[in-house]
Amino acid sequence: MKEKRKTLVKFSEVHKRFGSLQVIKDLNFKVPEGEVVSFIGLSGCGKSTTLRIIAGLEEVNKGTVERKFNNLGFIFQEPRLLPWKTVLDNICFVLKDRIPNKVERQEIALHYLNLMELTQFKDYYPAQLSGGMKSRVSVARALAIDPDIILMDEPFSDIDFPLRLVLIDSLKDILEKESKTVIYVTHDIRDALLLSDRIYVLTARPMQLKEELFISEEVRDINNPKFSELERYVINLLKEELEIKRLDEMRAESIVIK
Amino acid sequence: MKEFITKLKYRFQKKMILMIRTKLKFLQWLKRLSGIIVLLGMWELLSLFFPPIIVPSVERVFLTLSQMVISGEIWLPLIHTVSRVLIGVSLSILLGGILGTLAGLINGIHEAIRPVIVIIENMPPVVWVIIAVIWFGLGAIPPIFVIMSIAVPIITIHLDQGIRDIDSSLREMSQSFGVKTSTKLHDLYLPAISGPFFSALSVGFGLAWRGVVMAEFLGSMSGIGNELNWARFNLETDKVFAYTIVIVVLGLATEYLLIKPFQNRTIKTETVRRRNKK
Repeated sequence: MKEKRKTLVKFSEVHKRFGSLQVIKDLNFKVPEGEVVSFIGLSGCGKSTTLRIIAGLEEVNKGTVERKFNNLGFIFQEPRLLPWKTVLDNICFVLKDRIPNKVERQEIALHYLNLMELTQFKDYYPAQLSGGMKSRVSVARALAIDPDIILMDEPFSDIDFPLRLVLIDSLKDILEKESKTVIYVTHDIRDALLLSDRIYVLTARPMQLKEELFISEEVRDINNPKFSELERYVINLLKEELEIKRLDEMRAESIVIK
Repeated sequence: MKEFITKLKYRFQKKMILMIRTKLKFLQWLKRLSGIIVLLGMWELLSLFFPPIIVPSVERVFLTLSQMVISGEIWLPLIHTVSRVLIGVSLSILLGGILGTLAGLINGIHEAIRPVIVIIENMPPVVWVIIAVIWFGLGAIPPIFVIMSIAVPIITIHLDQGIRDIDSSLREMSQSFGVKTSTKLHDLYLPAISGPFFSALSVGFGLAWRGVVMAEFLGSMSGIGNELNWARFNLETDKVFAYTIVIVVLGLATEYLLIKPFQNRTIKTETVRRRNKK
């Protein structure tokens, strides 16, 4: 039984170059509404660039990008908080144009700070917070604008594993409750498997789709034997890519030597 | 009994620490004052060997100054000079603010404006006085003109650089969240450039006080500079010294009463930002 879902983002034959460097080559994928979609690939393969294209921060050289959403929440790799504003005001900053009433704005911000268990730190400045807290503020900020789609660019990469698990768990709860569409970019396979409905495994640069995986509810459990099986499978896919990348680099070097 | 003694001991120690601290602070101030004291001493010493027309003594200068205050003759030139500096600096903030903002936001203007500013900065201020006198005659305009020629480039450059230095990751963040330009201006750009703006203002004001006196001396019939001209004419050296003290005090007053209180507020966020970067 497959229900027909609206597609929020669709890439058709997208190419992206930075100067002479081809980053994305003929990329096709779609992101249906309400799904958590992960992009897994080696570091530097062009995952972040894809997110930036979706967010409208980067133009494509060829191909079409369909964006069918109004509100977009971006959780960047770094927290990107305004250092001269408190935690509460940092969230109010992105709400300002949407909600003119100040009290209402603060109520919404407080609600999401509460979800991230940051209520007692609402009057702190970013410099007074730990790395994990700052990441949580940036998550709260993205959720607060009630986005149709959330983009996450390895937001937890600076956080130690146990804490990351806690964060992912709480994020999972919130995402399930509000049935948000999420695009999650990571090189951490475990994070992706724990969060996603669908995983796109990507090739090394120039980036293309290598494999599309669907993760069912019961597999999304660290204790399920299928989980580790899937994890090993994805690891092997990435190892293949690493080998290809290494060969490519060797070839490039040998050309230079000649 | 024993308790009482330890309590007493503790109190004594506390008092000693306090005393040593105040003593240290006093020593620090003494060091700072020592240079000024030596300067005043040398001035006084010189005045013993020369007639008052060449080097008036310290007490004579301060006596003249107080007489000028009491008789009221100081007020009119003071008001003239102060108002010119305030008008000149305000106009510079307006013009420099517009130019600096445009240069900071638009690359073409930045490239075009830089060489012009370098040329203006390297022109001797006296040239501006001469040009202003030829164009507008003697009066209030030459001093204001000179202040602007000094302050506009400084404010423009600082704002231009300040806007360029705004964290591009924060700009991107607000762009991706669809934050409106007016909100960005108020909550992102203004706080980010207030630091460079106030340091530009501090330098600009400092140079304005020095420039205005010269411009009034050469191109105006009123103000402290003009009074200095008369003092030179009448060989009233004590008045020259007295007006010099007035100008120095005015410069310090704008720095510590006008700019520092504002700057301290922005410096607080500035240090927060620096810590944040680490």
